[in-house]
Amino acid sequence: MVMQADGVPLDLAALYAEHRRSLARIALLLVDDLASAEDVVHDAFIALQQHQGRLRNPAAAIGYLRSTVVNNARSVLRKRQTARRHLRLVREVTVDPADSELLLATEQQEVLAAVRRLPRRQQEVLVLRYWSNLSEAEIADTLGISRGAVKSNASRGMDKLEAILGGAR
Amino acid sequence: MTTVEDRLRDALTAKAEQLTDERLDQLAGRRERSLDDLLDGGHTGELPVLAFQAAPAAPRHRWIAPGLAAAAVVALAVGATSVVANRLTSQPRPNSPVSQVIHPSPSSSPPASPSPSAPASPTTVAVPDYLSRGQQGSRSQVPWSSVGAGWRLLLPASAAASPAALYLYDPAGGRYLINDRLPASAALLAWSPDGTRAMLRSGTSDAFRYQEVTLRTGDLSTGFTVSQSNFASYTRPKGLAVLLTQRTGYTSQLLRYSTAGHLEHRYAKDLAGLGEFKVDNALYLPDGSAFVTQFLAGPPVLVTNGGQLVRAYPVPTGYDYCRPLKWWAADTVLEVCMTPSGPGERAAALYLQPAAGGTPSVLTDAAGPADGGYGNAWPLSNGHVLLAVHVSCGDGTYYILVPGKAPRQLQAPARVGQPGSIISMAGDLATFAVRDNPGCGGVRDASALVDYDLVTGQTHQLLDRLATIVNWPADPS
Repeated sequence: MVMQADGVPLDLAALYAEHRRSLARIALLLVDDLASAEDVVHDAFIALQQHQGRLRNPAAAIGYLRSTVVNNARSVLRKRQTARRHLRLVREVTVDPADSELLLATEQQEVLAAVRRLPRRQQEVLVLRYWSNLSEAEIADTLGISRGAVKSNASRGMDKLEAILGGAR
Repeated sequence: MTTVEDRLRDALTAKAEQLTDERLDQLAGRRERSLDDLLDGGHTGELPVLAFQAAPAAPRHRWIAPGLAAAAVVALAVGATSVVANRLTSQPRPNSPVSQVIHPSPSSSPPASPSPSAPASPTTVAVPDYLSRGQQGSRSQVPWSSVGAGWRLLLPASAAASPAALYLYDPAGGRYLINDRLPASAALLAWSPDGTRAMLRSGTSDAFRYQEVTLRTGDLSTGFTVSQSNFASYTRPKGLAVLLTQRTGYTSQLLRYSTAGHLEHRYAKDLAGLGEFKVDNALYLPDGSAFVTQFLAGPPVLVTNGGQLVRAYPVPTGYDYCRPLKWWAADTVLEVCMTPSGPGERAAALYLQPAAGGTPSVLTDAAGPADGGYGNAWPLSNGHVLLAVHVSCGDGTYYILVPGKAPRQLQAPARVGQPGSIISMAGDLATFAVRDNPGCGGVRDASALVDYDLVTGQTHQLLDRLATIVNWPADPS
């Protein structure tokens, strides 16, 4: 379906077909839960439709979607924290799902566990940089922060990962 | 040397690739159905939904529900163009199935059960291209993107030494043959939580063989063999491992095998001094990190995959022990609690135990119209609760509990027949094993299976013999 934004064609269906996978995977890396990741992406497309009037440049749609995915992921994590407070005892002993050891190698699990120990902003920067391969400018746009903040978060995040995992960057 | 950056990239990629294209397509299928739901939700005229407006939007499009448009976009992107196009022009779809009212209903397997205090309202949805009731199709005809709540796997009883057959039943009653060359003694145990596989067990207790059927291809795995095993459940979230018990001498041990047959974990025989596991059930938390189970004598417990005890749940005063039955809601377990044995028989009562701990609340106590108390319950979409009397022999007796009133005995229609026992519940749909002869023979003597919708009152014969039924594995979150 072709849509118009300021007279410039915007093919939302094509946008979805092209980017849903990468967006869902960004969401998965941020929320660590397949179902939530799927919802996060779906909600991002709803948000894009809702706010399409503000989108002056169709080329910015993917950036908008990426930002919305990150924001929605934060929202999911906040809600999850609230829920966990009510299930505190259940979660006291944190272990991976029974399936996970078949899905990820131990090495990969260690790295992901280390990433989860980082502050949320640092996690977001590292995911966007090392999985999405975004430039500093793109990460800054996505997260709504300065390029300097991107650099510092990336640097601090990697320092902590080195400290946790050992080894050189 | 591998740098931290390389390791990070590798780990992120591995994690991201857990979200496979197939999984995304399954999501897209569900979104398509939600589109149908929205489009059937009362709009009768033209639906100019998908026009994406330049700011400011043209007035005639301002009323459009954003969720509707977004769902339409999703549907378009997964190839539902014709559906959307037909809806947009209000033209009937070629061979379009009629809409019907379907009550949202819980699965009898894991959680997702609606609270009985919050009856769900009927939702009108467009039925995908299902087969007609009683019609049989092949695997290639299954609308895989539509497979979900309301679908069932059936393994009909077969004559000795005859190959067994596995069927997938759609909500309209059509069946699809998945594989008709299965081991003669195969029993259907479970449907994997990711919906892609069925677990079978064949052989004898000396050497039970656990195998999987991949539903889309019908392929039967080589499987693995465990002697003296009992109870088997898929792990969560995907079902890539199997939890089972194995009896050695007079004791039983809980084990976890990968579906390929590798022993992953051997649980302690005497965990935290609570004694031997007595596992009839393992109710996994949605993320699969721990499960609710029980010991031979003692309270229900929450145990991690590594075998650590998270908590023991309290047993209500006056009862000897409680046994977890199933998830009643996303955070609540239905358990049956038994009075101590004495001069009379034990009596059963049903309690709702919050998974996070705390005092269980009573659903039915041991005193009531039924001798021996109630042994199981199912929430219905109209807010009522179906109760099963705890019986040790013969056919089931069922009561309907209406909040605030005394339970009344279920009067099943003549077609369901009496005596009969419920062998499966999927939402409001009870499947009765109807027997011609009363007695303690149990459902093995069933002469037919009849579906009875407890809310609408509709009945349909499902099969002319006994079958094992496993419902769609509802997401417990």
